[in-house]
Amino acid sequence: MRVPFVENGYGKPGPGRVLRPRTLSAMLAVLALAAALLAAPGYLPPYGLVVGFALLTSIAMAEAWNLVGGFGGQFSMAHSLFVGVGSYTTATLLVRTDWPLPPVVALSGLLPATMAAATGLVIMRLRSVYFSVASLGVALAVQAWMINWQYTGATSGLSFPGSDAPDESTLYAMAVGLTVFSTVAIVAVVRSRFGLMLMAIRDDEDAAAGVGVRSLRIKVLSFSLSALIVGLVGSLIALQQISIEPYSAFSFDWTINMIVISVLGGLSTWQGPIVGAIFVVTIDQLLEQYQAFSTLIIALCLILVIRLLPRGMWPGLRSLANVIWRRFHRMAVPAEGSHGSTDA
Amino acid sequence: MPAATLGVVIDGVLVGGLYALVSIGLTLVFGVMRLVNLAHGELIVGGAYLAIVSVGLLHWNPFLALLVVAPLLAAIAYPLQRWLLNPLLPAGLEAPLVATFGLSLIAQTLFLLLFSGNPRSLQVSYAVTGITVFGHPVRTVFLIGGLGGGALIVATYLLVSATPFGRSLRAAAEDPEAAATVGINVPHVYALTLALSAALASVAGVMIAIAFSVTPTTGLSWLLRGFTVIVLGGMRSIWGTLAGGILIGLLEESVAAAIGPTYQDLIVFSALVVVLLLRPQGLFGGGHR
Repeated sequence: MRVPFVENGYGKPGPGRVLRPRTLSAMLAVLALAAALLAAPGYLPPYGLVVGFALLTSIAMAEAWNLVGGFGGQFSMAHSLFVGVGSYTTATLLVRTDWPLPPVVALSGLLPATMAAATGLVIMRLRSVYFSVASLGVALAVQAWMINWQYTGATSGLSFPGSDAPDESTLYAMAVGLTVFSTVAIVAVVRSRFGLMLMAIRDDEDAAAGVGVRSLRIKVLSFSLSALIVGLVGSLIALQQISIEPYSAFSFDWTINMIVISVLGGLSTWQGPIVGAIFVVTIDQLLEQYQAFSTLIIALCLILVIRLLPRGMWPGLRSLANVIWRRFHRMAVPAEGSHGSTDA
Repeated sequence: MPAATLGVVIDGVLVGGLYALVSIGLTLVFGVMRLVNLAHGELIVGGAYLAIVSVGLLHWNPFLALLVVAPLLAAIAYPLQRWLLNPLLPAGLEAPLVATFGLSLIAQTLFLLLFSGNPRSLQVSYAVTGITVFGHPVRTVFLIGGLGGGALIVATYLLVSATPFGRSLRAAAEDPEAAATVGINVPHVYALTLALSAALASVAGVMIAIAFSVTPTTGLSWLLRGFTVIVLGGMRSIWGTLAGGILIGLLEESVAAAIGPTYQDLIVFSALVVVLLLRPQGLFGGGHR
């Protein structure tokens, strides 16, 4: 059955459609940003690259989680699994084979994507909290497995020679590429027909199914794409750390970070994870010596945001900017609304 | 019944009673408010730490210390529900879930700051002594945990089914608006439900601190065990929670007896996923979803 196409400006580009100026300028902005980020090794100290790497990978992971948890409305608690599988695929292949890096990294994204598709087909039949709880169960079950699996070194994990990993600035460049690619891909996905169907499922799964959206398929595809990105991030993290073990590679903290960043910044917006990640990484850096306090402050902010800005910081900032702009506008044009304009 | 099997059954049932006690707070909170409390593990661990501190200060028996610890934890939980979580409930699933998530992070960090990351436990004589039950030796603390857990589940059932508070709790769970129109203070009942859940969690925390140990992050694995139990029990049923706890206890003990304790967590968490898939309404649930 074909899905009736809703015309709202986000539709697929028709044959005669030209690039709108806004799209064009957005693309130029993205390219300029990518160039500025890529040039960073030239002007940043080595430590800056490490922070930049942390920021970029946080953005990519949160964008990926937000696709499923925000746009898709499926509150996944499985995402630490994909970081771990991505990291372990990279480390295992580097230790046990002499493959070159590109196929190793590629496989580290594809394996989590496949696992997400397989588990998604099973657990995404469940709805709301039942899916969340099942996804947490899957993540912790795999971690429990990895802690005991001799092939990957059980609790002691795996280490590969540092010469197998690229240097700091190459890793940083890979993180730039991955983050820009993921963000652009997710924007494209949520603005496509697929994205509309995904959000329709979030808003009302039965109604979406009623008009012919194959909800399971859509949900699983989004989960798999999300896992692909997170797995690639996991691969980069393994390359940066050289030595990995199951407690940190599969740590639930990864999932916590993705959720906290997405919720702080704004669920269901692509700008949200960027804002959230900048906020979280900044706090982390400011309180670098006091890690516990930084977590405490971030968690308190999470609760404040949920209570006061339920849609997140980015939508909050935007409406604030709107209010200011409107007030400014009104001052500039006093004739309008001098006698209590009715349009709010 | 061969002696080894009998041993597994006795251990399983006793551990199961403790698991039911660990989970009962989740059942109450989900049953009444449809709220998944991701900070439930931290209530348990918080109860354990509070008990460790008060035993250190007062030199009381840990179970006597519960007279202080349980009301204290309940008093912390009440305002959180009343003024933080209640206003979020109408916003749907995500907001209250994320709020409890934030609370769990805050609690974990406070535990780390106050008690460091090292495992802590309650030192008492019966943590190490054994006792013979039907010819099978069990650790005394498991006997206390199992029987005490079972007794508290029965007490909770009586509280919910046969007291005025229980009546208003059931009414608020069934239909909050109708309950409000007949004069039940629903926000107050909700807050009392979390407070009750916290008090029960503190008892579980003390038993866990005696039988095992706690670290700032142990809450997560207890939370997941709790989920497994209540999913088995049908999410909202008190007797289902007891049965689910005993089933998980039996499952863990038989796995430990058959292939060693290494894969216990794996089996339990897989059981959670399998049960969710086969019977999302739980083994004992009446089809609530």
